[in-house]
Amino acid sequence: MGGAWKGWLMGRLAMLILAASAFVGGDVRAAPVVGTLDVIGSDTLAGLMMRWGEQFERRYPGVRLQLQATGSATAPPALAQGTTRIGAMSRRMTDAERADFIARRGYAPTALPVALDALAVFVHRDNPLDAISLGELDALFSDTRRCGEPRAIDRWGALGLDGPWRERPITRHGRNSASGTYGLFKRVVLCHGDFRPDVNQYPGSAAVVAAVGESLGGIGYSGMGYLTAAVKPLALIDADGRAVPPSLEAAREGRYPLTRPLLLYVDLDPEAPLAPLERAFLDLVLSRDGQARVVEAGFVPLPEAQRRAWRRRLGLPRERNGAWESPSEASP
Amino acid sequence: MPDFPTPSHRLHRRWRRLRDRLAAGTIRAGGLGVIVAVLAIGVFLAVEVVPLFAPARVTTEASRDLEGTGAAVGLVPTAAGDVLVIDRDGGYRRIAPGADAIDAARIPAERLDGRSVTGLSAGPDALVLALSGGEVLRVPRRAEARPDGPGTRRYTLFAGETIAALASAGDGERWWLAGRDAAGRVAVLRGDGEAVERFVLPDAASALALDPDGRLVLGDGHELAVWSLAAGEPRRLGRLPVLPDDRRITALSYLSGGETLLVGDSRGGVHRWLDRHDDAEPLLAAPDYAVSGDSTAVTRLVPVPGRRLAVALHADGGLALYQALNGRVWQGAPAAAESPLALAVSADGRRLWWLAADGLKTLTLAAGHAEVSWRTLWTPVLYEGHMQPRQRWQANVSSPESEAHFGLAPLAWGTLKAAFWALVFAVPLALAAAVHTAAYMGPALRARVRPALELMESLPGVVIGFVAGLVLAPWVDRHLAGSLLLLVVLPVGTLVAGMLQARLPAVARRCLPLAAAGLWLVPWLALLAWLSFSVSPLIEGWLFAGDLPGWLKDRWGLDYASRNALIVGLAMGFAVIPTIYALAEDALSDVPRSLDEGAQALGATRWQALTRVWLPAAGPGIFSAVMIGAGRAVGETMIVLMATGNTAIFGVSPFEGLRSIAANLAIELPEAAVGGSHYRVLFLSALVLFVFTFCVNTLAELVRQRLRRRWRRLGAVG
Repeated sequence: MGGAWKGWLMGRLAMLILAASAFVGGDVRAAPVVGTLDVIGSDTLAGLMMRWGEQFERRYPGVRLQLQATGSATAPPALAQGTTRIGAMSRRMTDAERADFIARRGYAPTALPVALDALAVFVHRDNPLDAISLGELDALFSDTRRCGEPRAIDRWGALGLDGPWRERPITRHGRNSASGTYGLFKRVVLCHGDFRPDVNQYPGSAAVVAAVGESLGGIGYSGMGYLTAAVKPLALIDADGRAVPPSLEAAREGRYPLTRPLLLYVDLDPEAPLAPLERAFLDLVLSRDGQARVVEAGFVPLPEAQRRAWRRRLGLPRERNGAWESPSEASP
Repeated sequence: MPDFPTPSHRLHRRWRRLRDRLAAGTIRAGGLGVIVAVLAIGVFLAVEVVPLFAPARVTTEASRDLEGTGAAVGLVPTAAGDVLVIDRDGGYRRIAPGADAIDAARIPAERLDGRSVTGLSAGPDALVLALSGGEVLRVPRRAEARPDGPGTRRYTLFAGETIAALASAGDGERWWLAGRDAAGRVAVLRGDGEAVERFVLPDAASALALDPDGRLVLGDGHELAVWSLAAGEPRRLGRLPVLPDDRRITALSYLSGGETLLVGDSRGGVHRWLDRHDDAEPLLAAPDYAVSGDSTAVTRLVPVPGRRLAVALHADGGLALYQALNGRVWQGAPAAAESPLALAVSADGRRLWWLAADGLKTLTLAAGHAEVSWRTLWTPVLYEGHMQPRQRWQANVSSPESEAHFGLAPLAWGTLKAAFWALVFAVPLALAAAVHTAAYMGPALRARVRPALELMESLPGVVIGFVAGLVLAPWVDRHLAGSLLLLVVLPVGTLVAGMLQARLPAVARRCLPLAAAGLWLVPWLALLAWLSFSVSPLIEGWLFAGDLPGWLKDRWGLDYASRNALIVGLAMGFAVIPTIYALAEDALSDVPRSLDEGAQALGATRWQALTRVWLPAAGPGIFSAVMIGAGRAVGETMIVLMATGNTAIFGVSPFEGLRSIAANLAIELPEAAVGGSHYRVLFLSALVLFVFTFCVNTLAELVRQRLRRRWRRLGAVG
């Protein structure tokens, strides 16, 4: 109890110092950062948002981040209706969602990339296969094969495996249709074609990994952060025949094709300044410290140049060298 | 209690009457409340579903006078919901729906270089203006479609000729632009970053359409020529007649997504062709729409953004709405005396602008759920990319580029299949157990068995599903032969045990009484199970070359999925056994003792009394037990969700997975946009489920009521 009091007191004190210093130094963080910040949206981003939320509450005692992570599709209506000012999405808004927002608010929503998610394709750990091409994946997972593959692949032998693997049937595992992961795979690998109906669908990424880990002839896809030792990630063969392993570096350099930006859609009125609470949160998300949480959550941080560019665009304060944790340290 | 008229007694009586009335009222309110709640759920579901079947409509929303429309060459819808009226001299007016003010502006003169605008094509990627002298001005749609925006470039398409029609497609990186001149010659521009190439094609065209993959379709007479402009030199993929000889192609358009091509003909018909991605033929003919009656020629087909929907304009000014799967969903009388100068659909697909000589008309397109009909829900449909009609559930909520497949049949099938296999496991076990408990089991054991089964019922579905999906399914996958053998060995073994017991000498029989069969059968069955698993590899090696799943695939064409209907049947059977057992056992033990005693007094054996008297008497009760078990199995969610791979397959094999309505609701409802087609179709599936379980449970309850009455007639206390 005493500890909590002390924390609160320290927090208030820190805020007072911060406010005072801001006043003296003409800092942009002039308005007090208090209240509850509602964020609605993607479940992929839930883990990362929680980490940011903890950090946010530690940095600004007296604020609370309230997260409602039911899926990317829930963010656009909430933003358009003004229920929230920040929506977390693992895909871009569709034209209809965007048009709805513009119709209601009179300006376009701002899509702020905060991290990259890379999808990994993986097989059972005992599978001798090391790499696979996007065309082969299309032939495996799609029954319309819109990217132009001539034949469907049903046995591991068709991927060049021999011995007992030659005749072994392939079982396919993936995410459910509402997830952004499913959408990305469909867009990049299937060229918007149809999934075969016998691709097992699981409501969570960890469940896909578990299912492939249990099934000898299995292949599946999910976010890279969910991989375990039970499965073996496959390198993807690009158009030039090079195998690109699913790694943070390859994803960050743009060589790995199965990546998508994780976005915060911000209701950013071009006429009005950003509210202090949102501003403080975005400042944290786009700080070096905030991006360190991205790695912890199993995603790929933003490229440095992009991060800086967005900080400038949102008019966030210049960063000092070295990380800072609490507001008292932040005050000049 | 004696009734004395003392004041305290009077008070007591009044108090008692009040309590009675209160209790009766509460009970009545509770009962009515339950009925009202159930009805309210049904009504709520119905209310959510009804808009799905509202017919499509196009109504006039507003009409405003506009001067100088004679100089207009076209309409451009913007992302913000406004429309630009573009004039021949490069001036343009921005008109916002509902607002009076009109912003007038002008394309910078240096962009036009003295030329006039003769036509335009407004695609999702770019706005292309045709200029006099065969040039085009391309305005990429990055932020806003403004002809003076950045990235605007001018190219030459035809040197010196006038462009009669234009089509454009592509994205920020690669784009295509095709045009024809008055003589029907076709020229093409292809942009890749900053590099732009120009080609002239040898085919003539009276209509043309482009899809976002760089596929160009040229209509000439009753034939289509299909070209691929994707890379290198343009390549003709094929030339095919698409109409009977007496019709000509008068309009062509790709629907949003670029996979469905609509062809309008000279006699008012609209036909659907689908892109093919193998090398055999470039296009596949879809079955003709039910209505494609004779009227005046289709002069224009305007696709609705983000939807598989197009507006067709006829030569007499009549309008119609066509949906890719359902054909013509709306048709209206000519909206104006003369055909419009220009026609455009807003970016959100809810408005249609009609530019006439006297002004601009705004029409509202109300066709929110045109892709859903009873036919697409329950019968096979030819979807984009497929070669034949299919029953398919694939909601495709995240990408408007792919067509939504709302086929409920695979889900309904999956629900019934899961329930069927659950009952296949549960009914024999539960009924045999109930009969044994009621007729043979000793009272001491019986007093323990029922609580044990009730404990089994209290296991949450999630736990059962989790164990089935993550432990049982992989284990059965590894020991498939042994597990299948077990299904034969255990029932046969139990019967054999019964026969042996009957042949035992009397002394031994007293040690292993029938009343305690539930105890001594356990070690026996465990022994048999162990034997099956020890022997099964030998059998599998000998009969199926050591690979039963492979043999199933080769011999019977059955795919073995590790999370299949058998696993879910086993897990869900486990969940419904207690329900069926409890109700059946109640029905059996409620049979009046007098019947049984009478039968035995007349010399019937136990078995005879059981099969001739007990079972017929309790039959309806047992039936209703099974029905209630079926109702539970149909509505069960978490077990199916976790024990299957949720594959919406429409097949009979027990080794395939399935997707049930309840599991599908749990997966997709949280992500469905409120009020959208997906959302409403999900509610429709919920309504189907609700009606089904409601009927099954009501039937079961009616049967039980009848049974009660019968027993009352037989003099039992009931």
